[in-house]
Amino acid sequence: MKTITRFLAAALVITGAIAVPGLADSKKDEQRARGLFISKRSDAMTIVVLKTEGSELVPVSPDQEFKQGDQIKIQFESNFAGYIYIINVSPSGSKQILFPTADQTDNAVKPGQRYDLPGGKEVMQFDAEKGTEVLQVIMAHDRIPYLDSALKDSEGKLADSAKSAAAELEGGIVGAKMTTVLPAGGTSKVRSRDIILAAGKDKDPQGSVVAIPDDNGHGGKLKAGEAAPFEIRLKHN
Amino acid sequence: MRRQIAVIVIAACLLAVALPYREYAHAAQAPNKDPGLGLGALAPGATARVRQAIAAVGLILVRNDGDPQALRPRGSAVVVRADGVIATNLHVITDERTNQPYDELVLNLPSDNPQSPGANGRYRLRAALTSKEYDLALLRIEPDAAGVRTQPLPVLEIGDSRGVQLLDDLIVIGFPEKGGTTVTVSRGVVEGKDPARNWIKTDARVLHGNSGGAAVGDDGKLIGIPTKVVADVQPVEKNKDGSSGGVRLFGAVGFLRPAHLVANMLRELDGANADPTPAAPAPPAAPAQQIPTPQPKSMPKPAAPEAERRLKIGVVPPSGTTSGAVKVSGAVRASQTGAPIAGAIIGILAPGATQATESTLLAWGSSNSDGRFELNHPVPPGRYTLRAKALGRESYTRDIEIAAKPTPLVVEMTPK
Repeated sequence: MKTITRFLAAALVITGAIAVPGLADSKKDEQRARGLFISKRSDAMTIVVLKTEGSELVPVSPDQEFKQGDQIKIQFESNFAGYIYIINVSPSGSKQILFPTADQTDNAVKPGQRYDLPGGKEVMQFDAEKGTEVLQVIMAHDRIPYLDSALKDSEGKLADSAKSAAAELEGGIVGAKMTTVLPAGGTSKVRSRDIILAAGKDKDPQGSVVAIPDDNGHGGKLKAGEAAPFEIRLKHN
Repeated sequence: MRRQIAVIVIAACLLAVALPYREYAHAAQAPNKDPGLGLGALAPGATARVRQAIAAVGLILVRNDGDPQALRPRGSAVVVRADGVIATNLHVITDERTNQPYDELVLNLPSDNPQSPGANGRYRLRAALTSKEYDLALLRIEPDAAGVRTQPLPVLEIGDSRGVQLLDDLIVIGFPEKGGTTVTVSRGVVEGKDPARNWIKTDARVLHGNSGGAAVGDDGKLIGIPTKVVADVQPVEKNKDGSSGGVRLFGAVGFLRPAHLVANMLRELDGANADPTPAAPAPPAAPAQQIPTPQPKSMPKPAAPEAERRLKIGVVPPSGTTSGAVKVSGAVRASQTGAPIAGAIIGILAPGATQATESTLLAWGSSNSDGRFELNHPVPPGRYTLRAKALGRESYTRDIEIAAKPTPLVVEMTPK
């Protein structure tokens, strides 16, 4: 319930940065990303936005616009054993870690296991504030210290103090070999050089699939110290 | 018999000493450390860390308008943020007669402290946020008429006060009256925890004047604010001539307000600062209360030349500054596409700083989905270092000039 409150306070809005149609090679990417996820040749994850329709939660494309009162849940699954962090960037720019929560700090994920945000029967509901909320999702094989510190010291609020802000400015996600999968072109470009994506569609139970490319022929596995971030934008009008 | 017990209980319970300095000399303090306990050595490196922490603890001096006497010591305080936020006890800054903050509040970071060679001096303070419930106060260093301090302040990092364990090492740092005008430290352990009432108990010596100072762990981080002492004092049997035999002190327990309460107040202070109309009266809030900003007060007329005065009070304007701090805003975008970058962190560092630390980071903020940001603290016009970081982007650093009427900054970041 705490998660919901925080999320509502931030006036959740969804975006479709990872689900933009019109890519020339989207079909190929889709097959490739899903293939890598299933075969486990690359570290990959699926992420689904579920929306309450009637008494059920049904998968929806994240690029749709949401309205006040809409209720959603985020569901994700990795094909690797590691850690996943989900950070909410509010319309005002404040950042709050949504997964894990300050109360439930274990964000170690197991392959093939589905996780819900928020957990159980809880859902997140859009409030009256309009705008765009960003969900930054980070895949890693190791814990990320500055995020763990924020969970411990400030209930998951980032840049909440000079200490936290300095840690993020100086450290953040460190490592020159960090794999970058953040979409570089906003909504006009979904695929970056370091990510392949199968965009989620309405009613697609698997949702969007994000995979590390295996261009070098040795599989797209994250190494120690590496992290792979991407973002989902949720529009609320 | 019943009467005697009553007397004992009353005497034993209330030598509570949330009390600073001389005017409270009636409240006896307890040298409550048993030297026979023989504490072991501190953890490796702890001594150096604690010595470093000492630099961030200062002496609070107070005076009311019209007072014939000079500024007088009142208690201790600790620098908790690089942009000049000081934590202390509310009772340290409050005049008991009026129940209002003293008109003039000054922090003295002692110049003879070898741990703070660059930060010595006096800083005029104003109350920013207080909590009657917890007897805590946050104060801000005020700029003088010429500009603001740019010399990095020594900052005491807030530690994990919730995570302390019984018998953890603990060092009280402050300016007890009996210790004279130089810093005095006392070592002890965490003697108890009372999370329901927000206390940490210690056997480290807490005296008049320690109020508002620091209690640090062996990691050199702030665990709590020494706030009061409860002494076990019992009456002694009457003398043979029937006169009072006085009282006997059996020991005392020092009480600290946990540092996480200070962290909470800092967050609340940031929220208050986000209000773009700082001159407006602060809304009544519980448990903390915003204090309206008083009119700036003049420091005592300096006997020294201007340059020396600035050095002494640690106020040196950045090059090219004029008075009046300004809000800094801007946008973060991708260098190649111009697309907005969300979630980037942007910080303003003190001039010449090469690394973002609690001491050098003056203001900061994060970009929203449109890439727009506004930093949390106004900064005076002048030269600074701007630093930004975002997921999947190269770190960004450049020198900037903030004008009296600043234009929005543009931060262009390149992919890794």
